[in-house]
Amino acid sequence: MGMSSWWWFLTRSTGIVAAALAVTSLAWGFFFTSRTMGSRLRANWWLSLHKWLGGMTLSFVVAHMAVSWLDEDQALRLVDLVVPSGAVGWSIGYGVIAAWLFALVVLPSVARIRRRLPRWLWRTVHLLAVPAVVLTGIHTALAGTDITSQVFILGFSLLVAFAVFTLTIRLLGLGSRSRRPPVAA
Amino acid sequence: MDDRVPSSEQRTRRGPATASKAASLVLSVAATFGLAALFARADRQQSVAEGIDEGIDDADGAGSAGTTALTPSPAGTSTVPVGELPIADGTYDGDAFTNRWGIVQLAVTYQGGQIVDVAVLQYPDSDRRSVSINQRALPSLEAAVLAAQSADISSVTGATITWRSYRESLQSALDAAAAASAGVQG
Repeated sequence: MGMSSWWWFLTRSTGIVAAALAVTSLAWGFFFTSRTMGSRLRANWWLSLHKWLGGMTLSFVVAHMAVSWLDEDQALRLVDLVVPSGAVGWSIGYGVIAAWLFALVVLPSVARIRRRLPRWLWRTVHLLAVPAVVLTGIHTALAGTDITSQVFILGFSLLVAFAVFTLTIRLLGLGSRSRRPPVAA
Repeated sequence: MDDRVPSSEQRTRRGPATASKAASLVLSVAATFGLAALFARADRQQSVAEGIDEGIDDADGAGSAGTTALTPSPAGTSTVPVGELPIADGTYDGDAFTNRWGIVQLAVTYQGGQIVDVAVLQYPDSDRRSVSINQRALPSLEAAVLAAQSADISSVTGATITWRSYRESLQSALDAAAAASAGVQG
């Protein structure tokens, strides 16, 4: 088994772990903002772990791109990994767009740019995590070698269900907050 | 209050988050290498099941996946060199082999006992990159087959996976030709 095969196996494993981290990080953010997780764990605990998971997601996305570039059999050029295009197929192009979106969402937090941004802009940029995770799912479904494996399909379905569940909790939280009567002076 | 300065309560709560961060990091790294090891194991098992010799492109070229044109044995492996059995003129389709990029299927045309043409019936062409790689690789592979008159062909850089499927489909076409010719003569 050549080194090229190992790059290929690592491409698949880093991609799967990055996708799982992306969904977990997104879910953590939804849990945190929906304030539905009780008071046993403080907000700073949720926020700190959410940021950490976001940073890890971006790290694994970068690792996924690096090892896929190192795999000679895939014959990907650097430009294919940074410029989304149909040249290598949109199955990979969607992943490239998702990677850029993750970078936009995560880097301002890591680089502490957040405090310099207007709140509305920060929220808008941060919400790009949702399309990033959706594009990650599309990229996984279209380009994932293991998508035909039953174990993979089960894991993928569980991740999607988890993401939808946390999104629903978040949206329900928004709804109930907007219905809350104004506090009497 | 400046939120960059943690309160004493926040400081006491840093422990659980640190432990969770460490756990998530260890879990992620372990999952990455664990999954890679699983993929490697599955790949090795599949290779053994398909009878693919990892050393097929070694200098001696003596792999077990049909590096010479052979007639089929009952077990599916070939035993008699084609040169010892005249192949009837005609075109013989190989089996379709799927790799991670798509399907590869060939048809081989014999004339006067020689391979005179290799037609690619299917190849990965779902995106421009695959088309570009295969437009470069397939003519080289066909030229190699015509020169070798067998499936004993070297891989093409950047198209190793297509080469594997190409060689497998080619071998099945050669086997089909040999089997058909043996049937005619028998």
